Amino acid sequence: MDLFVTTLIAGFVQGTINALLGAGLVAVYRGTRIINFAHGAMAMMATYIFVTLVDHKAPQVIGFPLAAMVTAVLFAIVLGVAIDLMVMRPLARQSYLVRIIATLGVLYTLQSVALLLWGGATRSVKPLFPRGGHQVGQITVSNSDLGVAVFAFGIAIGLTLFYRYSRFGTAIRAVSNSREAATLVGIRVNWVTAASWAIGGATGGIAGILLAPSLALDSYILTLLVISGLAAALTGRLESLGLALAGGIGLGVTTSLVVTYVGEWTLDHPQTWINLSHLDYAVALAWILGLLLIWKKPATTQQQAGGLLL
Amino acid sequence: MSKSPFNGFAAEFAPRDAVDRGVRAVLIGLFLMVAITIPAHLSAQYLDLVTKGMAYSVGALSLVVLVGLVGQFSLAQAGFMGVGAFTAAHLVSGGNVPFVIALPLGGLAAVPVGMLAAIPALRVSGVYLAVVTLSFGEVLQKLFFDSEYNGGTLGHVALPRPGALQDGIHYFWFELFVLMALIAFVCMFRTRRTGRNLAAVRESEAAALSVGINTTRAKITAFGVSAFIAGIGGVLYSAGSGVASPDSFTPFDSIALLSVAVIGGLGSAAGAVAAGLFKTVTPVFIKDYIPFGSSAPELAGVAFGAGLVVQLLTAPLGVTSNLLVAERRLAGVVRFALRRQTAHPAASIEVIN
Repeated sequence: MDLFVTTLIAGFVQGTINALLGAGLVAVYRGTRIINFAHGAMAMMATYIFVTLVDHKAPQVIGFPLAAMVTAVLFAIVLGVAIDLMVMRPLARQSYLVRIIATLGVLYTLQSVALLLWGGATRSVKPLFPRGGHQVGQITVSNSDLGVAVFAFGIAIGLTLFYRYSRFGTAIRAVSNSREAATLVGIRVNWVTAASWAIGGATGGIAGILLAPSLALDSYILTLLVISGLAAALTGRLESLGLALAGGIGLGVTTSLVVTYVGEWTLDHPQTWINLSHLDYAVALAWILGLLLIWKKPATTQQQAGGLLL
Repeated sequence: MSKSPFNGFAAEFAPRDAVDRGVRAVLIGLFLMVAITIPAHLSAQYLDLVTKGMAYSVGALSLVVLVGLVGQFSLAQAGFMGVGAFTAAHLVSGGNVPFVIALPLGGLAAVPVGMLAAIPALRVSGVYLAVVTLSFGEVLQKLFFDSEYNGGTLGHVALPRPGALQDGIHYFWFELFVLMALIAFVCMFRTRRTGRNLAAVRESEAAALSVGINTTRAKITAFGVSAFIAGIGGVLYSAGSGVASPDSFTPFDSIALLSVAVIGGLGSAAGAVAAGLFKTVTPVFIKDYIPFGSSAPELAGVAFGAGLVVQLLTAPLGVTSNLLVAERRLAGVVRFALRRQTAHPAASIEVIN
């Protein structure tokens, strides 16, 4: 029972990060109709810059490296806008496939730049939040878990509210529905796409920074965070922020449960043909496949054929 | 899915008459002559690079096949290569199977894995498929290639070459032969019934369905063929270095493969050959000719990523499309010369009259 509850809590904390990553992907998708494969890579760059600044003793506010965090997130915002201006906007008239491949090119470039600047060695990161924890009944919730969950979930919820209720959020939703109609009512579409990339960069950067202490500073792992983010975002069909948040948390809890209990099982039944310590990747894949199965078949084959015959 | 510029653009440059065919035959002959004679003049280090490049060309060919045949692209190609490589390695070093038999078996082992990856392609296309295959490749690498059976995360499985292929030059020729055989297979496949069905699915799934083509089977076939070629490429790559190791077949290798294939030209076999060369020549070029390049091998990665983006911005069809245009011009020149030769006597008669 104890194990079950701690597993749930760990899963929830991981889930809030997935939710934040998913929210960033949804933000970019709604503004630009692009699935940003470089999302994890942007997060990775921000995280590396954050850690470098902390290493060089950036000023802290009550033990929290606020200055470093703000700088890193600002960098991620600039990076997002730069990608929009330099890569995605010139490709706006190209086919969808070309633009998706371009985000993969950005991913590969950022990953290589990180290897160039900081090397390939994995290193650990100092915890963000003060040590210690709170006793709730028989369970201890660490400050770090609490901080990450509150921070990540707070930002994700804030983003959802911003999209729903603010004027700019409405403009973004208008562009998401129809670029032409949005242009006609006087919305500056270019500003909206740039802002979407900025929001994507900022949320990704924060997610990376929050996650780094519990994971590790490794450019491969951080870049591939895009997979769990995509699993979360796909839960809401890349459109719904609320479902993306729910999906992120669902994925986190499922992953945590599966990894913990399969881990218990493998203690007695060691497997040589499969490396079960990386089971989290398989859970994300299963999550994505499950979603694609549940969805109604997209309008590619049957409906088009029907239209043609009629 | 919107229509992609990559969809089999090589078809537009397919030879139309005897002159076109002749020019192409001469060019292929020239390429083969250079490819066969050049390894004897290379140092051991460069020979190693072109050997790896040739294996990479086979991997890129698998991607070209997938994009060219059904207009889908996959980010699991390195995973398929790994399945081939590890299967062959276990067969050769554990089962004492001869290398020449383990090579096609490695390719065949990748086929069911590729077909498995094709199942989502039946329901979704384009970007969702990219998401699934990226994740699929990651699972293959982290869960299966990294397993204890394969020696763990830092381990590897030996894949020794047979005595006749020990010599680097001989192995290079062997790779060249396999690559050419695969290209010939793809070209034949393309014009046969199954290949034409795939082309129909690529152009319009709805139209293909309406003339009774089984689109499900077509897509699964395309993934199977592509995985087979990728598996062979993986075996060739690992046999070149002597070991199959999990860090050769990461999702990043899939992305690198896609990058070089796009730079080379993601629609023609020539693009795939060029892609393999890019993959291996670029790092050496950077090391030898760019200041400080030797201290930073990661610059090659930056070059691939940035090169991919620049290529998409300037000419999405890749450098091969320029080559194909040049080939057509050459054919035009030849045609012009031929016409002058035949037209000359007639012209003189006209003058007399």
